[in-house]
Amino acid sequence: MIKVEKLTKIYGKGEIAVRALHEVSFSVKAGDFVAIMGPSGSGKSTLMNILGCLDTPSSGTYILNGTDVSNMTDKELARIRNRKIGFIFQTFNLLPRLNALKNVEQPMIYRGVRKKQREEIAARVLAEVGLADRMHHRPNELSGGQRQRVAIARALVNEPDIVLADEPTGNLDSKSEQDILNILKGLNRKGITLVMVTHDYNVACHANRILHFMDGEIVREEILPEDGGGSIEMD
Amino acid sequence: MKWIEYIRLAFTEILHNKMRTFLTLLGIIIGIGAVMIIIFVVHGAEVFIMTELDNLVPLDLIEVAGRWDYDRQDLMARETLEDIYYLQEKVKKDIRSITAMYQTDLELIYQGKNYDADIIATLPSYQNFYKMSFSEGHFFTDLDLENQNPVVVLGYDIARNLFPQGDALGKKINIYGPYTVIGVLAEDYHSPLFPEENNDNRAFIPLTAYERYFGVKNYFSVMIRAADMDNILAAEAKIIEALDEKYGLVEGESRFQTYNISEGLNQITIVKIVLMVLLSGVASITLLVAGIGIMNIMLVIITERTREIGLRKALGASRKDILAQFIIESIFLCLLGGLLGIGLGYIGSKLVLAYARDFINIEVAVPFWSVLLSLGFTCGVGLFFGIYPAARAAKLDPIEALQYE
Repeated sequence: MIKVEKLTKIYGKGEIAVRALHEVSFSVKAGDFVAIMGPSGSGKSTLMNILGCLDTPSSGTYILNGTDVSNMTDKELARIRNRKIGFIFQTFNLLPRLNALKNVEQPMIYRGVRKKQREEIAARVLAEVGLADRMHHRPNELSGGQRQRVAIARALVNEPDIVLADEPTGNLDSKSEQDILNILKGLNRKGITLVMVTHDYNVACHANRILHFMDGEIVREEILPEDGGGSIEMD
Repeated sequence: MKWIEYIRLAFTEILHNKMRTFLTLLGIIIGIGAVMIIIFVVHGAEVFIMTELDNLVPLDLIEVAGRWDYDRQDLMARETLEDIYYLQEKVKKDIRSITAMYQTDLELIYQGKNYDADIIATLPSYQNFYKMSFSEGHFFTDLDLENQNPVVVLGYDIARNLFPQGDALGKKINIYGPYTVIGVLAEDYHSPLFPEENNDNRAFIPLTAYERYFGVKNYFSVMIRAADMDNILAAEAKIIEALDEKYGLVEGESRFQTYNISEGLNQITIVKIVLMVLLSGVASITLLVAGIGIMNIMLVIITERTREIGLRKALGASRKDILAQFIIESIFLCLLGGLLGIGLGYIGSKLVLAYARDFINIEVAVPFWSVLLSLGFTCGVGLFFGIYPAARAAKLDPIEALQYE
């Protein structure tokens, strides 16, 4: 699904150049659930931006579902983001003036789906994340966990190849956190490919494997047992 | 499809912060409102003047008369019945109808009863020219004219006063000799050409009968209706030309002149054009100032919604999508201002004219073109001043935009 080879990202030039990623290579198979862990400044955010096609690498290749997206134009990248990638953010990033249904419809507007069909799909996906009775509420009328579920629904409506979650539970209380992680695991069991950035090991343990980042490089890959998750001790 | 969604989004945003929207649009509202008040009032006045004029004098009426000679204290020429026939042939294509008359006050006498009447000595063509209607009898004929027959058509009041029994037809009344009554006008008859003119005290006799008694010294007025409302000037020129051909010039100038109300209307049109030019100047400055205000607020809006822009890009919006969304928002913002401005203009002009009601009774008239034009201009302002902020939004880097606090 994802194949990254010698991915390097350098910000700035000459003396002040900062190397955020250094020849990172890894791959994610379809249906996998990968967590990316590391302290801030380790390059995990840069990697997420490149994986999400919001940024392009300085060198190296990024192949998403068989397509090389390392050197695409703005317009092509927008299309890829729309059709092939679903985003889940730490701060939900819902549009405050629109209700849950409308928020979930937004990606389909850019795909050119007709209104009626948009509403049907959005309602169905919202029901899948357990918000059937909250569709017409605006974000400020929803709890944190509910907001993140709206955002998850929004990430899923265009049936992306991969869903990228950036600290999806960072702004949630522990109960909502468990909720969201269960939903993500449920999605993964249904075959959705997930890449999740987190700095919380307990959260990362819900994935199938963890890529540990440090100074722009993968320092360790950790494969977790099948029934992973829950109470894994820190080392 | 996207467009409809952008319009919906624009309305959601515009209506969300009503106070700010209103303050932003105040410039456009007042500007458009002021311009609209002037247009609505001026147009109302124009409609008023045209209606009033048309009630007084038909707009296509041309009067022809000799010019006044100040040295001799007389007209330079007098048309005659012959000239009527001459013009009828000569400028046939340019005139719809022609008639002529002498007008004088005379006393009518019947069996010792007197009545001061307004005598009109005219041609049979007068009947169609003025579209007369009768309660009994008929108008005189070409034969009456040719034979100088002493026949008379009475206005309704005259007939009722002299013949209370209603048996006027066939009776002989004395004007300056015996005249036989052959017709009586309809009660309260007003010519559609001159709705304000009362005909109840008028009596009509053949022009030739009058001339036999009084000669041709009196003022002979010739009335013509132009064939084509839009070619009145050309018709006037041809009439003068035809008469000059017959009468010759005096010191290189015609002995005749024509009168038509549209000369006055031209002046009104000029005033209107000057007003419109001034007005469009004022409107342009207003819209420029308002447009800068719009640009400013759009830049504020885009800064406020930087995260939204970042998010939309992450969800797959292209630069074009973002550009379109914000330009549409800017256009609809201005359009709303335009609509409110037109509303303000309508209410304002009603108030202005209500205040003026004591002097003049003008109704507000809304010319359709002015509404379209002002909406068009406000759209243009929204588009023009929305492009720069929208382009800035479109160029935002999605990562930076998403991290914007």
